Amino acid sequence: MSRHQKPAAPAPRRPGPKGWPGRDRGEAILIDPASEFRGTTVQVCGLWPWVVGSGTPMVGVPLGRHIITGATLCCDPISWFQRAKLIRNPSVFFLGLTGLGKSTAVRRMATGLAGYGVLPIVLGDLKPDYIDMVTALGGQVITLGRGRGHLNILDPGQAKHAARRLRDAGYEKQAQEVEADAHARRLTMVSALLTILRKQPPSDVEESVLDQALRVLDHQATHTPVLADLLAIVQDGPAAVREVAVDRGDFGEYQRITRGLEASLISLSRGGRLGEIFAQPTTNPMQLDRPVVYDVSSITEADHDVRAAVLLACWSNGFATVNIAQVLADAELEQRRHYFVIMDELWQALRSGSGIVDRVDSLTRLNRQVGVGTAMITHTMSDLRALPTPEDYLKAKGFVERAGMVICGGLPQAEMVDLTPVIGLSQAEQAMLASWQDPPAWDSRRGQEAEPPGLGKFLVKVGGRPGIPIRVDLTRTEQHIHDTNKLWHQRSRVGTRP
Amino acid sequence: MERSGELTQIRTYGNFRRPTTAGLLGLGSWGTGVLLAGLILVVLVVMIAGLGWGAIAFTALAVVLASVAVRDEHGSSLLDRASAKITYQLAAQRGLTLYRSGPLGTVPWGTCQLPGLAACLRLSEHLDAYGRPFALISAPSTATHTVVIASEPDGAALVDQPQIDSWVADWGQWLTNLGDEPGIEAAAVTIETAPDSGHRLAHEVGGAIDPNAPAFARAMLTEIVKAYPAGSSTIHAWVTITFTAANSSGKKRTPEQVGRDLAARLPGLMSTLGSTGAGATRLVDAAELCEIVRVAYDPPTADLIAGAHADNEPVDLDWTDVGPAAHQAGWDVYRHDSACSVTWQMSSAPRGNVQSSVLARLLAPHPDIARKRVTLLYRPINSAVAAAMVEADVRAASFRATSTERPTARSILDTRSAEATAAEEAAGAGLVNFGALITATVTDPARLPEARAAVDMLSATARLRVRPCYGSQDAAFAAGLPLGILLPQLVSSITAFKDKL
Repeated sequence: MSRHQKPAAPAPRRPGPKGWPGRDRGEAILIDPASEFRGTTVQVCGLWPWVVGSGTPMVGVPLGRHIITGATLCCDPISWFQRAKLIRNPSVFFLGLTGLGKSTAVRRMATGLAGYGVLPIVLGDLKPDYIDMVTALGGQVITLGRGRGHLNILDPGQAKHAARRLRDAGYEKQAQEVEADAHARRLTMVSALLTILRKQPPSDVEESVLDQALRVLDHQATHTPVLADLLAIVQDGPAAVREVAVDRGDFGEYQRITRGLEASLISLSRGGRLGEIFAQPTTNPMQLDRPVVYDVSSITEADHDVRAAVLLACWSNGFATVNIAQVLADAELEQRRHYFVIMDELWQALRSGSGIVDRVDSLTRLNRQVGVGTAMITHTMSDLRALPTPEDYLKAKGFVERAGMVICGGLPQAEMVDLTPVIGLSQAEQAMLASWQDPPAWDSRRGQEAEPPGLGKFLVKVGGRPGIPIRVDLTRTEQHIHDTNKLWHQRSRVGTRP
Repeated sequence: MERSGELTQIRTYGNFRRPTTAGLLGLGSWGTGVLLAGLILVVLVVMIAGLGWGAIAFTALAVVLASVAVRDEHGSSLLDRASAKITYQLAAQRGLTLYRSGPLGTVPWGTCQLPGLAACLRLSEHLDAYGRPFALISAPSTATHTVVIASEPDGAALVDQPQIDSWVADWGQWLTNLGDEPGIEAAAVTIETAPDSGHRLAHEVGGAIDPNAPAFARAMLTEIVKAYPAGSSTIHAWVTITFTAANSSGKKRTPEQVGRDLAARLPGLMSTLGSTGAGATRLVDAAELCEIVRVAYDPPTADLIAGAHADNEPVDLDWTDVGPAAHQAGWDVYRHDSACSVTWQMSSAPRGNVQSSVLARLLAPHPDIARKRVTLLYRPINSAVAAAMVEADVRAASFRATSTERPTARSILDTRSAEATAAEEAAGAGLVNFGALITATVTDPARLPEARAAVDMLSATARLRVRPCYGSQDAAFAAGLPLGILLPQLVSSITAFKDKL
């Protein structure tokens, strides 16, 4: 086209040190070398470039926004363990005073995880905080309580069905394991109920009698056994049971040996404090493939023993189901499902009896193998300190130490003494947490309290790294599942009868 | 008791000096030479032509020397400014400040290659000792090779001072090691803040969501993806390390040879970086580097790239296509593709003592500057040379202090700080030349004044004095990118000579 056709004047094949020379070719003629200064490295390092944080990898459920930078923080124990590899075990420990939105943050995490294909399971909701959420997620609400629902502790649940499926698919060994687990679990549960009832554990002979009796029951059972059936076996004394009772062929002796056991089982199976819930066929068996909440809110705190027993049963049942799901997934008979186990008001559960502490203890050590993420929620470390025995406190402290991440809400200054050695809070973090628990200002113009300063604010601590302060804001979608004050919406009126 | 102890233990840093040569009246060594020669000339003129002509010659000499010796608050003399202005205007007249690339452009190859100083850079990819790919940028003009390390600093917001102090000390140690590591020419740290496009969140949620999940959970996640990213920023941090192409015997090595050599050395360099507060580090591969550069020249592509990542589509950027389609280097503003940038340089290091958090406000996201890049440039001085250098500094300073009857307080202070530096060097510290570039990018030119005001304010909080890189905006912009462009090695010999005057 023009006289500057390419063949005439071949352009240089490579640009020069300052770019392509020539008009419109962006050659950098003027270079102003950035002024340089000189210093020793022990001084120049004072202009430290890492003073602002870059945030976290965006992996997990969007939990909240960074208080300082406003960046979105994605965080949940399962994604951070599985995909981001940020934590060493999929668990989170929530600490924070009541009323600052702990449960809300947990629900956000659980709902998000449900969206990611993880099934949230609330094993024993004492408040109830999670029923609305589980209902919204299309999950199963299992109500337990006097006259409200039963949980048959002798019900092998999914175990029988699962064992059959495994056997059909040619997994004989796994099927036996599932059956053995189910057997052990039922034995533990009966022993635990006896312990709670009598305030002392059953003797070794009684344990072996129960063990044998359960086996006999399994062999002859045509329907799912209940405690009354177990009682009948113990009373009848078949040969196998009498053998372990070591009665030397004397049925009178057998009856003498099993007298205490029989009495306790009678108490359990014919109602009584504990029997009412556990001696009847299960009303609502737990399912493998849906979010589940055990609603135990109708059992008041005064019913201390019942609460302990019910919680223990929920845990036992819940974990058994999770276990079976994993075995089935291993055999590729079911989809691999991860579960997010929520233990809210952990302090209440822990205080119910030392059985629970051990249960959680083993869980926090084994959660990687079982394929569950766990969230443990309690108010303060002092709650844990108030456990009946010092051993229990040490174990409970271990939960916080072993938790993959610790999320703290507003906490009183006195807590820091207990907390700092465990999760390494810096002075700045301590001051921040303490400021979040300040009481809200009183807005005299509107005649109501302003929002508490710590509402929805949390500090996410992972290992020794600096905490990430976030604020959890509710979306409109989730507003309605976050109402924990349903009874307080209407004003109280004396009213008249119609 | 303890509390008062804490208060007295705040660490401060300082004693940053502008490298100078020994000379009289604020002149460098060459300037002093000119002064002496000029005075002799004046004397000769007086002897030959008489006092009148002598006075004229003296005035001429004084004017010439004043143009060099009298410096403004940014340390640049009249000669500097005048020569920059003239060079820029000549370049502008010849159309050198414009760049038109791509198939319709004037640049050979017909691609959107990088302009100016970055045009000659070549990119290759190698594997490190752990099999991770990393990009190697080779600059034939300075015979250097550069690697880029991305880091995720934790930040100092909620960290106790002792921890920060130890990080800072480790950072100093890291800088010291740069001087000891064979073949390291320079290093730079780039902290970039950019608006969060929300694509990352959308990607995360979209990628993790289970299609069979409950509708309620999906609705909540979708709402969060829409509502959360608004107004938030992301912070990227990169460390670039530039190695010389020459090996110990002075022979130039190919990128392949350097890549093989670095493969073994990089894991070590990165692991020590972790303890300086830089957090988790990873090597930037070629594809990521292309994206970084492309986004810098054309910010709206950040959304497209993030979107493509979100949909798991490949972002097929070629090194020869990451540059702008057009640019226009103005006197104090740089237009490139869809955005306008202004780059400042640090014209004066913090005077007096500063704390390690001094850069916090400067580096953090600022609402008035959507995109901001702060690059700290380090040129370690070989530890073998450093000792001689600090000694020379001490001599130069004491020469200035003793050359007059009554030394000024400033020159005494200068001597003292030079001596302090020599003492620290003797105690094992390295010597490093450092500078800083700050680039603010806006997509709407109308927002430039706000960005300028914000940078002025932020640099003041960082106790830095900054000056726009007048006339060399395009070069400074490129130098601020994590590409390992070494400005001091590219300047012409005239400029280098000017500094000695």
